[in-house]
Formats: sequence, structure tokens, C-alpha cells
Amino acid sequence: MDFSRSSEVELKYKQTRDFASAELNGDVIERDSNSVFPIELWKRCAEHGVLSWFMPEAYGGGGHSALTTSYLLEALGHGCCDNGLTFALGAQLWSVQKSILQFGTTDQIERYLPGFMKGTIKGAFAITENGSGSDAFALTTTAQRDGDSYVLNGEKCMITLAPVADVAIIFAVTNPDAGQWGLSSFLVDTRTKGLRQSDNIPKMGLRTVPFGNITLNNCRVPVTCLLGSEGSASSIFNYSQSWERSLVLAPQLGAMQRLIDQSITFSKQRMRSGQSIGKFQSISHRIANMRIRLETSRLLLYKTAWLLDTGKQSVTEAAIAKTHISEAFVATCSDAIAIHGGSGYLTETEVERQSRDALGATIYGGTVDIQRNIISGMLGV
Amino acid sequence: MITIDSIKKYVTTTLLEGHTDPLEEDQDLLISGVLDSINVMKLAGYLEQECGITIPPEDIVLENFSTLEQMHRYVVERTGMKPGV
Repeated sequence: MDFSRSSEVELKYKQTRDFASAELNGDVIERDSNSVFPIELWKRCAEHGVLSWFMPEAYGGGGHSALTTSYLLEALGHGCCDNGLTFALGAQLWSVQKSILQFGTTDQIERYLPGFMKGTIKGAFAITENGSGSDAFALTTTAQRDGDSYVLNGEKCMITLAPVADVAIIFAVTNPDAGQWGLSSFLVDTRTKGLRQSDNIPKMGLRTVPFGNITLNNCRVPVTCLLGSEGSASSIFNYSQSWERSLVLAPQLGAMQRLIDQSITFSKQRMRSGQSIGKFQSISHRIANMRIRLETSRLLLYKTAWLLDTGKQSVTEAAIAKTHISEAFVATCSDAIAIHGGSGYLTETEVERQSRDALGATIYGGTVDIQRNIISGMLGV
Repeated sequence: MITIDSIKKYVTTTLLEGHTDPLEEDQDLLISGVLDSINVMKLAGYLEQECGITIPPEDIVLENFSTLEQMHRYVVERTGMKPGV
């Protein structure tokens, strides 16, 4: 296992962090307050290469490994204070783009990947329904074959990017007698007749990424929209989740570094009883704990990325990384608020927003409880 | 060379510890829920390790993994081995 990086990648880290810091943070407090999706910044990120780094060179991508891409996404999170934006970019990259790349036909790949990489189209991964969630395969949305078409009916809920997506991977039941093995997935253009996207649904954190429902009412799509073979949706889901769980929190490593930097600066400037508050162990130990969490989080994520690059199974490692990093991010935000005291509770300090955003990480991509089920299940418990 | 019996032994002793009903070679293990998602992932990992192959995610479907017989046939085709007993 080797996590060393070339000078070229280190330079790219600095360029990405500086790009994010200079161009992505302008009105982040207002964006968060008004739940505004920064579409122009999404496009700027795409122009910078964020949605291309991992894509194969044959399709115009950067051809970087998962490990290098994760490191660059960490740089993005280090510079960008908008966790909603960085989360949404990762969600599309690992759930949508990677699934199409792995399971799509050449036609499907060539139709969608260039637009994703350029930032001209956005994709949603639509599996969750009101009655599913953690029981991911308990779906009621149906896709009935009718000649050269499938007719889709049902509703998807709490889907990242749903209100603004141009295409969605829709999971539906094609064989009701086969349980999870009777599920199929479809690449559906959101302009298709019978598909309706909801408005953004307000939420606690990650407010800059729109979140919503997709309703399918006799939505007819050609059989060429089938992603993978009929009945392969559970494999697509498990595969995409192993990538998303492993890598979607890479920007949060950068966010944790940013919180440490901010807390150190504050603890040196803030004076109490004639000395900086950093001299008090209640403060310095918190910062030390933040650093310990960041180090362990980095090692777990880099290891999982390395396993993915080498094609080795990483089910357990992905679940461990997802659980540890999301909980480390929450704890780090709590420590940052404690270090900043009353000012940490104020919107203008921007720590409270990080804390609201962090809680989402323990839920999306499979809750930490589900991750623990996977870890214990893989241990045979 | 992997055999149907060695796959059956892994399934019964490692995945279904305590499972007492005998498994038939043509018995469905997936739709019936005998093997859950985690067990299927563990089984794929086992077959990859034992046979020195990579199982692409798109191959983990009913046609290849529903029964012990199908799993064995899939692995044999994937490795180019002659079928074992």
C-alpha cells in the first residue's frame, strides 16, 4: 500500500484548494440561508476538472486513480466552505457517472458522460422511496415492459439533485416475484413525458444542494434506457454504493483540515487571563483530537481508495470509512464550536453551518447504523 | 479446481452457520432469501479468491448466482476450467 504522491499531484492539490478558496465561497452564507443551488459554481468546478479527474482518458477524462481523485476532492473541500456543493459533486461522480461507466452501453456512456464532465447536465441517483430508505430494495416503483418500451410508475423521495437533474437513474421493480433480484434501473431523461420533478425540499444542512422527489406517472421510456441487464439493479446499487461510501466524504477531509486551521487561528488570537486560549488544555486537547480524527479518517479513506484502484473487494473497508469519517466530521464540528464559544454559534463564524452539514454525512449513502450492520454482517455476526 | 461441493461447503459452514437443511444443487438461494446481500458479496469474494478471478459487478445476477449449479457453471466458464465434480 503506497499513498505517496507525485509533485504534479501535489501541485494540483494546491491549485484546486486555491481555486476553491478564491472562487466558490463568495456568498456561501446567503446561499445556505436561502437554499440556493450555485449552478454557475457547479459549472466552474466542472471546468476545473472536478467531474472529469476520475473519468477515463478515452472519454475525455483525466484518467486519475480513485486515490488521486480523492486527494484532489480533499483539496476542493479544504478550499470550498460550501459542503452542499462538494457533496453534490461527489454524489453525481460516484453514484451516477461511475454506474453509467461500469454498467452502461457505449451509446449510453457517450451520450451522458461528456455532458456530466462539462457540467452541462446533472444526474440524480433515484432509488429511495417513502417506504424504503435503509431497506433499500423495498421498492414499489414499477417498470412494466410493453413492446419496445417500459412504462414507469411510482415516486422517488429525498433524491439529491432531483429538482435540477437532467437525467436520473431510476430503480424500479420489473419482476415482483424475485425480490431484490427483480429490480432494474433505467437512465431516464427528466424531460420525458410522465416524469415530474418536485421543487427543492428545505432541510437542516447541505442547503445549497437541491433535494426532492421524482414522480413517474405512466412514464414511457425505450428499452435502450435500461442500465445493465434486467434484474441487475441490486448489483448496480451495491457497486455504486461501495464507491460512494468509500469516497463521497473525501471533501470532508478537507473541511476538517479547514476547521482545524480556523480553530488554531482563533485559539491563538483569543485572549483570556492574559494568555491565548490555546494555552488552556481544554482548548489544545480539542484541537489535538481534531487532528487525530483527521489522520485516522485520511488513512481509512486512502486505504479504501487504494483497494478500489486495485480491484479488491472493499465492502467492509468502505463501511468502516463511511462510519468513521462521518462521525469524525460531526465530532470535529462540535469541537470547533466549543473552541469558538459563543461566536461559534453565530452564523457569521461559519462553524455552525459546518455542524449542520456534518450531520447529513451520518445519514446519506447509508446511515452509520446500516454501515455497522454491514461490518458486523461481513464478520459473520 | 473448485467444485460444487466446495462451494456448498463454504455456503453451509461459513455463510449459513447452523443451517441444517441440506442444500440441493438446483435449489434457488437468492429469491428464496437463503442468501442475503451481504452473503452474496462474501460469496463473490470467496470465489474470486479461490479461483483467482475477478467477478465484475454486472455478473452478479440471478442467471449466475441463483443456485450452486449456476455458480459453479459461471466460475468454470470464467476461469476456462473443466467442470469439477
